Amino acid sequence: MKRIDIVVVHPELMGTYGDGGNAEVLAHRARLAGVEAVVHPVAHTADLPDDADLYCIGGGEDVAQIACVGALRGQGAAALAAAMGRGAQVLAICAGLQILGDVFPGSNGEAVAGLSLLPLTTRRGERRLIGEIAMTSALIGTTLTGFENHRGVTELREGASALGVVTLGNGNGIGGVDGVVTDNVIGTYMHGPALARNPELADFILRRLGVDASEVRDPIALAFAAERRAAAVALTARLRRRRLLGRDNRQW
Amino acid sequence: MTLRLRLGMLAADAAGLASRLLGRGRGVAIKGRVLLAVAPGALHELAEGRRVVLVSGTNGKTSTTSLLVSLLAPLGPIASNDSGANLTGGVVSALAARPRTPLVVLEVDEMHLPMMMDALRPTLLVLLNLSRDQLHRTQEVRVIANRWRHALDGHPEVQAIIDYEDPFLAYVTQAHALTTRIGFEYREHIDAACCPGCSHPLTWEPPRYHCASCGLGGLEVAVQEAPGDAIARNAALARAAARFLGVADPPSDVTRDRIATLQLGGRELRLRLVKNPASWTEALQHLPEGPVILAVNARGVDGRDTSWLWDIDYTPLGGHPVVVTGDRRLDASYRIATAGMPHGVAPDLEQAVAELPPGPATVTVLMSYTAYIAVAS
Repeated sequence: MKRIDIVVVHPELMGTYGDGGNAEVLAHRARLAGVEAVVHPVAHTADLPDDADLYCIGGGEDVAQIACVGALRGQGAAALAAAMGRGAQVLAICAGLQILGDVFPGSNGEAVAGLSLLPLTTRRGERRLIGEIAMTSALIGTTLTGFENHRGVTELREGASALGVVTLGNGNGIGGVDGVVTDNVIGTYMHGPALARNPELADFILRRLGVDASEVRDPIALAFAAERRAAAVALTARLRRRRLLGRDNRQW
Repeated sequence: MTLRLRLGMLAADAAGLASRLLGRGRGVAIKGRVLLAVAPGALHELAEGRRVVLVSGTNGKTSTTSLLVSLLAPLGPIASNDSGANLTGGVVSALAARPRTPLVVLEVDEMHLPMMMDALRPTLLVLLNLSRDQLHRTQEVRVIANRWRHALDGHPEVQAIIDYEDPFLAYVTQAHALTTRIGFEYREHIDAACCPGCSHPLTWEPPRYHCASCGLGGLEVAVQEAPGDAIARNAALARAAARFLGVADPPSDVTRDRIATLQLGGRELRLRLVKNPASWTEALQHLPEGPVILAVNARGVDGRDTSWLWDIDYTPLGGHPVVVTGDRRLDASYRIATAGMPHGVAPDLEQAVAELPPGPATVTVLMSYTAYIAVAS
């Protein structure tokens, strides 16, 4: 039987918002598709293996993010680059997305060097961006929904493509888009169980690993995703009415 | 008592009475707001010359305050807000309701603790725990810890009693001489991957977390308590507080928990309020036998983000019949489905009870804040 190995990078540092859930969702759907899936949490004190199929990097508070990138410099970054060179995939959420770029803001807004594995840079925004987020993604072929809570403004370099066009919330905070997509990486500000709310996105990543989950029947997942999409439509309409009345359109 | 304060208290009583007559609740908060509007210095004035104890932390404030008040009964009458109104209005109402008791025991919201310390000049702080709570609304935990530490720097005269197994409280009191550090059984802290002081990753190994960089976690504890759950820990802190205040031998078999019961569909529901990852984890680890209902909402004070559902270990649900309900029941349903837990889904509590298989009469219901308040009140 085919098997995929999923590494969760430094879950003790990078998992403030349930980001470990994405690995659980991928493993769950892979198993439903008849593929064995093993999740390996790898602590910041251990070497990062270079032979996994998929690496999940979650979000974290500023100091945890800096500890994570510090631990990855050298061996970890080399292992990740080698794995990506052989076609391994990376799912990077929020702070995890930021550390893969060239630079990101530290606790006091100072510039911290990232791992330069993605064509993007992040600076500190004016205010924290918090709330439900929705986007249309031509690549995935559907509306994606999630929750964002960050203060980073992430600028993609010319030629890099975003994951989706934001219809609710903020995403990257510039250009009306969220996330980044390369041959090896899906990055997004939808934190926590982004893949739980968007099974099509999980299946897209699995397809890149050679796992066909298109025949998976999981009514609970479909009901959950549909309910969140309907909620995003309702919230978007409510915020639009509020904006027309001249009120603040922040969710908080 | 100044004339302004007297006037304020009269106006507050009138407002409270009006609120009750109009059926707008008990009128505790409105009384406080009116009093402060008329007499802005009321907090300070009403606390002057009295021994003030402040209880704060993310979880367990109301039950611990209520327990402490009962342990202190031998010392005479006490002014307290043990109903849970822990913001400025509730606190000043409690002080004004019994303006002459020598002893005052107040539950205080975590964000308000520094301001209350300046206004009330407490003798004693009982600090229970600090953890992530509604991240979208309050600050990161370390921001609150920094504010508390700064407040203690400004009040070297106050005695603090803390749970030393919580690294945030260890950091808050790291340089505070008058601290009674109580040790408990080893437990990990869901939000303390990095040292709250120096940001170095903490080493999590029994007997206690330790920071290899700044040494946090390495101080002697005053007492090492026997293993127990959060309720037992808070009770131990309350007993230490009672001893400090002069109760020679506070009883050790008394605890408090915010559990309400409800009869529904021929079952007895034990309703337990769980409002953040720490309290969910605590409740699941000490789950009684029998069926379980999880009621998950994400309105206002619950926090609108349900991502934390994925940070919790659901293994203790194994073997229990489980039904999920609440506004965000599908979030919970998919979460526990990926953990391999069979369960039912129901739109409301009544139907959740109907979904349960026949069996034990007692059902544990873990409820987020707004779900709990809707049923318990």
